[in-house]
Amino acid sequence: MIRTFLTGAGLLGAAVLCSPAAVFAADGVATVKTTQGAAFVVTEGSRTPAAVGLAVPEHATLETGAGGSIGVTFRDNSTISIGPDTQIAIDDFVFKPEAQQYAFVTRMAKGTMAYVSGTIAKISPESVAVKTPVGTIGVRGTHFLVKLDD
Amino acid sequence: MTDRADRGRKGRRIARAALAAAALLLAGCGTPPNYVVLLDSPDGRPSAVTLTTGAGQPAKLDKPGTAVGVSGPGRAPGETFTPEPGEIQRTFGAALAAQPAQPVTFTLFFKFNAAELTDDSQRRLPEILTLFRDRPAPEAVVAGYADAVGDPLYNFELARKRAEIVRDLLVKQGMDAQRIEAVSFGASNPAVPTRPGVPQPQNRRVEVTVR
Repeated sequence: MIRTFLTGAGLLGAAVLCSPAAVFAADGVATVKTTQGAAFVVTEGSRTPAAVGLAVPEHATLETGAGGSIGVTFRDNSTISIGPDTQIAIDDFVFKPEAQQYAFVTRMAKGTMAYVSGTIAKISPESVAVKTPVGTIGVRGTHFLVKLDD
Repeated sequence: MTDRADRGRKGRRIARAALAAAALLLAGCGTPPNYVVLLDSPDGRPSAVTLTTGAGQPAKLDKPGTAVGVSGPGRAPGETFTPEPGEIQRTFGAALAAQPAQPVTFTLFFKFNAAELTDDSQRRLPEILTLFRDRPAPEAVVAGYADAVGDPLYNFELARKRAEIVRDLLVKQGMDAQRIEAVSFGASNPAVPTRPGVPQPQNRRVEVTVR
């Protein structure tokens, strides 16, 4: 009984030690690397003009107007860049190698996007999806483009 | 079956074929309103995407340069097609121009049974620093790996120590500690897959990715 408890406590301790949050502080799931014209990082209650170095939190939406573009690099080394009049939301991003937990689900409403997948698609392709109003794109380690009409 | 019923069916079949031909002609005039194009992967590895819609079979693209479209919600994926390079540039030029530089990964190895980099790996540190300084809003991820000898918790701990050693070396070289993330993959994601318990020096590594 006691030994079970100690083992449990040991595992818990190890889990805390191993949790990525204990190892590094990440301010977002992605960082803005390029931007031009009308380009925003939209979260609940805020609409921040994109700027190089801006951290993109989970659940944020990348949004561009006429002539706008934005490129971001994710913590798993994926990159997403979008052209004008585009909207894409980061629904779910989990990158916890130490717990072997992965998810990368985006939801694109309209516009144009270039996507280069990173570590999550390599290790756990079934965790990656791009949802659109007309269907879901599954990603098997790759570079691709998506266009959606309004 | 009467002749008339048979003729009726034939007539409908011909009408359907004509409609399909018209659709093909229209498709020739322009690309679908919504589509996915597979491109060459930057690292040259084979890649693929699938498109699953509300109807029909999922479509799979595994040849770079090919595309598949869908006309609207609840419709099946169309036939695979190859968009003209000019069409790709017109449609995706802005998105492609906004692509961030691809992350670059350096693999470093440790001396056997030591917390010290091999001489070759040590010599690569300045190269990492130079790339880091060239990137806009640079970040680096230092990922530690162990081989499949030892239990998983021990390997996560060991791989994390390796990652932290390299992170500290890079900070000493002048990289901003706030912009370097150390992660441990333990024995997962090996460079050379092995069975559990098999020693493999190629897997005792640290991968530094600058992005």
